[in-house]
Amino acid sequence: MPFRFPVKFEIPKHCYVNARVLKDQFKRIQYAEHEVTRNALKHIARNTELAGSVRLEAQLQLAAMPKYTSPTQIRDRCVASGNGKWVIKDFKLNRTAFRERARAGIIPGVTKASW
Amino acid sequence: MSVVLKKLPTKERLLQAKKLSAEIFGEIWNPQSVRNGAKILRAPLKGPEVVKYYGTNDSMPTFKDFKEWFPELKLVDPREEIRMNMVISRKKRNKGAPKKKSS
Repeated sequence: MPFRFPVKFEIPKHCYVNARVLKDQFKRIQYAEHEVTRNALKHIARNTELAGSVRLEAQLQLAAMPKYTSPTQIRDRCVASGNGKWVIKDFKLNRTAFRERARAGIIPGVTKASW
Repeated sequence: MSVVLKKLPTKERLLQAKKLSAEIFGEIWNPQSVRNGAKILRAPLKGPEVVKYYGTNDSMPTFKDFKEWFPELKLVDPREEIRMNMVISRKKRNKGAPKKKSS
């Protein structure tokens, strides 16, 4: 089967992997790779001291970059289930994954509230 | 010898002093607060942090790695064994995955 992404990358080993997690990981790697270029273009586009035509050209080039290099395309997913919704950022866990682990006492420092 | 200020220095002098201090301390001198996009270049890169979200692969070896490194030990992952047993028992009850289309 051909590799479905335009660029080859390492598949994460230490988390739950499904197609959506892979897609997200690919975007993360691409974003990190193109961050400097994006920042440079953004800097030119936002610099009011430069000529308007230059700024417009930079903005167009920024918009012409592949969508997968954009930081807004990245979404934090659950490390244990790959779910993209209701992910608790501090634990990188989806609410159900978090609940199961918290009730089992696997997450250090997390206990059921009781007073 | 002490110098006594008779009156406040002029605005230009104050601005000059501020500019000099900015140069000395490596600060950006932008008195008119012109939007020159400097904050985009000043901000630290986020990429390295973003890539690490799902963990780094060489942070620790996995069970598969051990299996590859020590084939003579014939390691068996108990979780994988349970899963395979489930699959076999499901197949016996005709509840397995459907057959692939043959073209």
